[in-house]
Amino acid sequence: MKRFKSLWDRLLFRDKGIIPTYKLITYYALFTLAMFVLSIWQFSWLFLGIATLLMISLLIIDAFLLPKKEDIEVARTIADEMERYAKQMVTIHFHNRTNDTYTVRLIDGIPESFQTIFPTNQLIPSGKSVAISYEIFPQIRGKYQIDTLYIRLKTKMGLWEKQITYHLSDEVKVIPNLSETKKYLASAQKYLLHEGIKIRKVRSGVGEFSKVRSYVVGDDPRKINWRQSAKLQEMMTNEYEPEHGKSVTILLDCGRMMGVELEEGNRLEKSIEAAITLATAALQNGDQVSVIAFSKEIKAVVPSGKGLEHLDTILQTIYALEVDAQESNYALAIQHAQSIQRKRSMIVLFSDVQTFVNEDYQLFYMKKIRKKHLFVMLGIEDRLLQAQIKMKPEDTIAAMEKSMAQKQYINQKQVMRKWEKHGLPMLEAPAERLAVTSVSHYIETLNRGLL
Amino acid sequence: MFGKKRSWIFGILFFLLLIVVSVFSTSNTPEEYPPYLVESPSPTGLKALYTYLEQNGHDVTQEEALPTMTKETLRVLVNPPVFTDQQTENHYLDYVRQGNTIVLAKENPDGLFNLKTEYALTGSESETTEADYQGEKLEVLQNSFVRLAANEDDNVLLEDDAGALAIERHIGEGSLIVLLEPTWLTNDQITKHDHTSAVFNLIPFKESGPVIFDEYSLTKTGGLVSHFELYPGWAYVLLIQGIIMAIFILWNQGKRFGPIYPVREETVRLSNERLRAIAIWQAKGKNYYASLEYQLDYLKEVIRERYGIPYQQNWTERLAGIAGKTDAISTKELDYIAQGIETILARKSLNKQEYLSWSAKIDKIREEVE
Repeated sequence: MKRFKSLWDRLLFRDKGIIPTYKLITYYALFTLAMFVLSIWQFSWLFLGIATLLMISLLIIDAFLLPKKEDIEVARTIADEMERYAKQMVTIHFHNRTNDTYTVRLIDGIPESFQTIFPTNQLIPSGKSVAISYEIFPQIRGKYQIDTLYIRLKTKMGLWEKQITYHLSDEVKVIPNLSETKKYLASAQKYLLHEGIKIRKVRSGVGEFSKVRSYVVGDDPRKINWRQSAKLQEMMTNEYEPEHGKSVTILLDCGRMMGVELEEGNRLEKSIEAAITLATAALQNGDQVSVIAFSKEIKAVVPSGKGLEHLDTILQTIYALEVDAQESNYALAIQHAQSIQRKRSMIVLFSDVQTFVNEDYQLFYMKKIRKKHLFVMLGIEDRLLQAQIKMKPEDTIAAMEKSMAQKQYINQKQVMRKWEKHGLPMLEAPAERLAVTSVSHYIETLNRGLL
Repeated sequence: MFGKKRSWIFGILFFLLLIVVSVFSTSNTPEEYPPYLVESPSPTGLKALYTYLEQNGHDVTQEEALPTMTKETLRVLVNPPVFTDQQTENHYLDYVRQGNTIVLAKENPDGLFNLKTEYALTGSESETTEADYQGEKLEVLQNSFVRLAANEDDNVLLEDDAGALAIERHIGEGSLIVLLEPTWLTNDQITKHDHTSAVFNLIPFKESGPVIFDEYSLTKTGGLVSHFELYPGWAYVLLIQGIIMAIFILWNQGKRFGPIYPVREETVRLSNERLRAIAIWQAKGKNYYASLEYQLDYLKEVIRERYGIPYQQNWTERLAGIAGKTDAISTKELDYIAQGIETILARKSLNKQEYLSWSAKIDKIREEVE
């Protein structure tokens, strides 16, 4: 019985089938009107019956001209991996094996978060292949299975539409938006331009030897490479750059507070993008990067690795992270980080400053970790808080909200100062500048040779 | 491929032709008649009686309208339905009062023309009964389980052991003759048993003038009218086409195009939820002074950031420090505000109106400073 019901449900309402179009209904309405007008003068059951049957049969003829499923070949082209908030094209290839031209409209079984407008009224000419594309705009990261493609075909007359479903399996991964990373890779210097930090060699003689080059006026005479100068009969100087092979540990908080909505995506979204950019910068610099994502429990771990290939490992591990409705367990995350990272490393925690303001408990763990590692916390500036601070105190509630926001802001500042005193810097950046801030802080740290 | 389709179309056209032909050919089959119609040659019709009377020089007609007020006519009503309309009945009664005769043949005329019937206990199981017509024994068919309840003035024409089968009642100048067995008049039964003599004895065909078979109630009203002719033609057109249109529209709307998406859970969270909760709680607790203190702390911090005025200065000094650096607030006003703040800080309490007005003033300075 249940099986019959599901079959009934599928055939009648969802799967394949023939549907009368609005055009047919319009025609039939006109016919009804004509019959109605005629019947005011003359009415006969025989005439009514024959005329109705004739009309319906005439209309039904078109339904027999519709193609079969085998006559239309369909294939889908979709990228395996697409970035969130990056528009992508999906192409559906139609091959029409019949001698008739059909009009098609389609709905693809893509997830709801892929915002799109499906094409309608596309022609597929007789015996030809046509590619119909539509643009998708993925909103939510994750791994998706795409299966069914629904199409509706009609003939030139267009009285009936035939719905056919095809099962075309595709797996799509929506990864974090990498536009920041790409910008960094294209030109690191330009990317950090607004931060005012240069990737430069600050302290003379500090760091690893990089290369020998011709001496130019202004170079430190202490760094002249005399042996090479003698050999080449030209003044040569040594160049140094910050050391490679340091480790960076990225901690990603996926707890409750990271689910807060921003103008575009939520805090976690932005943190992941920033983390990947930071990982790219570190990996390109020859450093080792490990990533730990956590909320109440450890959600994902990428052990440290080298080279830009490691970026893909990181991406594949963290692309589907989601916000949990739980408080984060920082102690656990830090313990785990210490257990996998024995060497001194720079620990970057992407989290929310608020949590630390209201609880002193975390400071204890952080102080412990400070002894061995270099710790920095990165948060996203709360625009809503700023807006509330500046709000007009028009009624009691508004004034109260305003004063509470101001109190929170002052508190936050104090706590950040206190942590900084303990050598635990907390940085806050606007959502769109989080990635830049993290990278520039990293480079600054390297330049100053702190790591 | 296409040839196959064309053959399909021809198949349909042929099928249609078949329907049309069959409709026309089957229209020669015997017509169905409702019972007790004058033209009906079927066993239930009255054609035999009608033709007999016509051929024997009677002035017989059939009418499908209410009677006009003539005199000395004989009107035969065979199995009319009970009139739902009192006016129709009154019309008939007036007609009788004018001096006409109505013959009413109906199995149970209870309720018609103020007639009453009572259930009869017919002991015999035979189809026929022996009726008595002025001493004459007639063997007649009995279908009716009731007998007429005769008044004292009524003239009982025919009766059997169970009661009256036919009576005559004088109304005004005319009379009403009631007969319980309309089947005696039918083509099938009129010559059987003693029906012929019963009918011709009971109904005064010879004495009366024109005989009218009344079919008003058989055709125009009542349950005998076919459901297919009850309403005007256009209503049927609208009904039939409406049903078909409804099917088309439901069909068009009912088919799902695309996948079913489960309803997305609401997950949008905002960062000020905690703040709002605290604010409402504080407002309920009327903690205006604490709130104002927070605002002053913030203002202090903002002024320190902007002008470097240290925390330990009091408000008079602080606001004097920024005097002349702001455009919108005059030095006098600043001085006044500073004094007010000092007063409130000393008093450590304020009401709602003061709270709101001071919040506005502090915000004004904050805006200026920032």
